[in-house]
Amino acid sequence: MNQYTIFPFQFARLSQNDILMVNECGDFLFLPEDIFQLFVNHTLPETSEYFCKLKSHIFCADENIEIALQKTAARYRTRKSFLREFTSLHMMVITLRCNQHCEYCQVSCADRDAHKYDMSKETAIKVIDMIFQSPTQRPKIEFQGGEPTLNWDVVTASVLYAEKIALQQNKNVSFVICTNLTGITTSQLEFCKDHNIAISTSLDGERSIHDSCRKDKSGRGTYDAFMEKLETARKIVGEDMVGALMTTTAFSLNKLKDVVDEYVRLGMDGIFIRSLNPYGFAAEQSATLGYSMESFVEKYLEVLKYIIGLNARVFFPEQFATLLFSRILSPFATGFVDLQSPSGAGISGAIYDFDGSVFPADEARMLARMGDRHFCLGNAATSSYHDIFAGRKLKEMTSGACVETTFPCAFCVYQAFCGTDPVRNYLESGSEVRNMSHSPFCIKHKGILRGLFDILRKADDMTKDIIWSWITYNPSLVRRI
Amino acid sequence: MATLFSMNKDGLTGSLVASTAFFSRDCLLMVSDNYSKEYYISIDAHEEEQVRVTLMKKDGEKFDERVLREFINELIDFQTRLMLQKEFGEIRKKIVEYAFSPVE
Repeated sequence: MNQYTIFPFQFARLSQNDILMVNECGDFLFLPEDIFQLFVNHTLPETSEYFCKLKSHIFCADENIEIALQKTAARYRTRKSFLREFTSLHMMVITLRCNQHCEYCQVSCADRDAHKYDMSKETAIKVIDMIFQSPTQRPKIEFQGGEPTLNWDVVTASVLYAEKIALQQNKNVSFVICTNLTGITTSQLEFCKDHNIAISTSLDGERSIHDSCRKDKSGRGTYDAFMEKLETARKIVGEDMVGALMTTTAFSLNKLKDVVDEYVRLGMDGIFIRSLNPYGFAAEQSATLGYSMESFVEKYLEVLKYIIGLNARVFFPEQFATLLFSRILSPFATGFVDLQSPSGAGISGAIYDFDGSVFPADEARMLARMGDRHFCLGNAATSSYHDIFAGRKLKEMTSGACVETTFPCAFCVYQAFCGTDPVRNYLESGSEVRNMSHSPFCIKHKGILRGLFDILRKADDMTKDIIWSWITYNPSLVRRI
Repeated sequence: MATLFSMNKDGLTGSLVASTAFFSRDCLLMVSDNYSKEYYISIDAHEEEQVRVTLMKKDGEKFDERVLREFINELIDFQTRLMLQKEFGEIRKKIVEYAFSPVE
């Protein structure tokens, strides 16, 4: 028996003879089965090449454990450094009113004239005062709805007030407006340009796919109106300031390549292949819009290979894979509220409803709209910052939302790259902490991560260059045809 | 003997006998959990230091004996995980403690 000390890691069999090992700081190695057995039984010769690899990736230490401990701890701290930026994403629901009625909307949009669902200027000011109490130096304020352009005065008042406070506090505030674009005006776009407000919009694919779900109040597709406004928005605000997100439904699941082609045709800077969330209308219409998570994973990996192939000609990242590849291949923290451990709900992002109610995530606000205010943390008008962000509710929720301490995540080889979502757990099981086995969340992330490791294992030089070009957002890393 | 596979005559259920000298209670329960979506599972005392695990497909289809072999492989992997956990548990605690200590 050799005297080396084994450091914490998780493992899984990826194929007959290949074992994937991932340690506490996200370093990974593929090991042949026989070598793995020797290693865990403390019989791997310390002179072997594999031992050197294992030692250099801190899967073990021979003599000086303290140095290996310090190294691992430093890397662990780096991976968890998103915690230092405590609540940097703040979403304000400017109104619940909307000019569209999308089939999968998760926010239960209100009618165009239902002004009682508008955020008032007074509430907006109180929300912004609260946002600037967060310790982050770089608060990001995202205006959401409904359709936030329908309550434009409050958007402008919020931006002007936030800019003033940012100047006073020497903070770097940034803005995003989430809009379907179809009703946006030239003057609104000019305001966005003048105040550096990025536009996040929705495009599900080519006309037939987009129009299947994204409809106006009378049920007509919005593709033409969207295209017209997209062109105007790009001209006024700038192409790099207009991004789009897609949602995969049963209408597009088997046509994801067409969706990608549409994004490439329009010169989008990448795509985020998103699955449907089980909230709002999407939950009500799951029979027509939904699909199994297993089929999503299969189609996602299929289209991801197609996108990698496309990158031999054009720089076009898939953003979810980019995020996960960054976690796998780089030591740095990647902020993504939906997939963090501890969960990003409340501690990385928070949402302020039109009436000032504060929730840890948009899905928690959706639950409240469905009648369950379990996750409401307080109200920006009546509660203090401390009550909301250092209160018992958020502390309890966060302490339970760590994959490192939840079964079976604590034993999962993908633990270092994954996260948890207490709101979704609650919605699906009635409890914030649940056994994740067989949950759609686990099926999705485990399936995708397994697929990504398979890509990495088989990657040729071109594929590796493409992956690194995504991670570093550097198109010149790939020699294109 | 550590394991013994058997198929029921009707072809709907399969059983394996696992030694509790090799596999802990946690290990048996955690691996069973992996299979609980597709199979009904029962765990019963067998002979001394042995349990019998019986699996039946929920959809009523025929049972494939390979599932039993995979089940045993997973038991071995999970028991390895539990043993490793014991071995490096203290180190993990120290890593987290160091990582969140104030920088000197």
